[in-house]
Amino acid sequence: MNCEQSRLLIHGDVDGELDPATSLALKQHTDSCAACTQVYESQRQMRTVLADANLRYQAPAQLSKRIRSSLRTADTAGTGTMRIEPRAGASRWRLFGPLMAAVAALEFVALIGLGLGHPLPISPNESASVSVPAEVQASHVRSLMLNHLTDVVSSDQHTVKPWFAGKLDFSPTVVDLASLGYPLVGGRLDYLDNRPVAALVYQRRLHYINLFVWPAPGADIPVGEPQTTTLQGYHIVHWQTAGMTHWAVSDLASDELLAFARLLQQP
Amino acid sequence: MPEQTKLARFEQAVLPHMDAAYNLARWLTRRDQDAEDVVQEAYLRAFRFFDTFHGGDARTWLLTIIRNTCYTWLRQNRANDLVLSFDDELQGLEAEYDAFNPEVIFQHQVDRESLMRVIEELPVEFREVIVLREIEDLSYKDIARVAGIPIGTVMSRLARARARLQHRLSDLMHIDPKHALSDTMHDYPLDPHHPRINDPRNVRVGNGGRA
Repeated sequence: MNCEQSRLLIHGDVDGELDPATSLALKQHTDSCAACTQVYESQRQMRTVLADANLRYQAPAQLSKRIRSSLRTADTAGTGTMRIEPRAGASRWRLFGPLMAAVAALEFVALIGLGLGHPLPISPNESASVSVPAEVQASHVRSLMLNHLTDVVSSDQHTVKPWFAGKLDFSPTVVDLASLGYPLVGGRLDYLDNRPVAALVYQRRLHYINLFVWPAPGADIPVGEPQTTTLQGYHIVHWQTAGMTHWAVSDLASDELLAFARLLQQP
Repeated sequence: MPEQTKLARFEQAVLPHMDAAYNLARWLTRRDQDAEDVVQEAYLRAFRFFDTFHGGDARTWLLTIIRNTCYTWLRQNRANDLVLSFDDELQGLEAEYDAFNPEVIFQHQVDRESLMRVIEELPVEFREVIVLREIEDLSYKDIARVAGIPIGTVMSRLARARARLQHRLSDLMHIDPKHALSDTMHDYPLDPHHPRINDPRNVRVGNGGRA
């Protein structure tokens, strides 16, 4: 073991995370290296100082009350229609300032070069549409992270589509593309753009695709033109058909995701 | 399963972790009111997704949701907080590893206020691993789950976060880093018995003759 390796492993060791063999190898190194021994000791001290400093913030008492109350509201209202209890004073939660729009626009300018097809339109006045790709991407990541990919697991479109009945105020079109290499995995409810939406999950080899569908608010984007963008490594394709808006997101290669979108667009 | 039961189960499993939730949100958003908003939003989200929670560690599960809600909030309200830290991540700060000896700091008696200020100034990716490890006492495995990074990255990010923390502390206390310098991968420790780095006869090759 050299000093470079040791300097990293010291952290694993003071945190009690190394396996015995690695820990022993580290000890053999530090025993013969005064500098590493010193670093080891000071990192150990650093941990003690932080632990003793009482750096924890306490939740205010009224927060607990407010959360309990909003949970009850959400519980009786059912999922999808819950709302946040307003805080006394101001509500900054859904505030999209001009700065936010400017930053988002910059982000898009930086990213559209990577996409295929037509770049998404940038308009500082459409803060809502600017935030949708970010919501789509975040929801995709969350669905994989929380092991909450599907509420209804089925490769049968005739099982998945009726499952949404009564849960949404619209009926999404569900097609299985297994024969074309994009098998349907299932579906779930999600919440995007301030409304409940249908999330359909498809698979391409080991990659998952989240397809979000909800009724389109307007038809300002030409029907059938898929628009693409990339956010934090995830490709996003957006298109509108028959009064519905579609957002597909995946870590799949962007040309394959675009091919997926074109398959779904076919009547 | 009746809804009332779901609420009762949720309250029993998840509500007790509100202090941990608030603590993380407060450190990530850096403001009381914002932390309260994020925690409330995250709790509603957690309740909605509670059916997907099949036992296990409710605190880690909740902290994952808190962390993601914080990032969404930061993206929407303080995108600059995120932009800066990504730059740091890309450039790599290996040179910062252990560039000085924190022992010096402790002789100066760091007060809690300085510590909090220095942690607060860390880029958010570094701040979150410090908070999860040093305050919430999470294992690397749980930190990896909450932050969505591989376990190996947890260790290297902690190493860099600590190095940065110690640097800032020494700056804050006006400790001349020259005096505080102990060792980097490329320098010698300031040990009087150690060969001087500026002596051309002692230019180190390989392991510097230590082994």
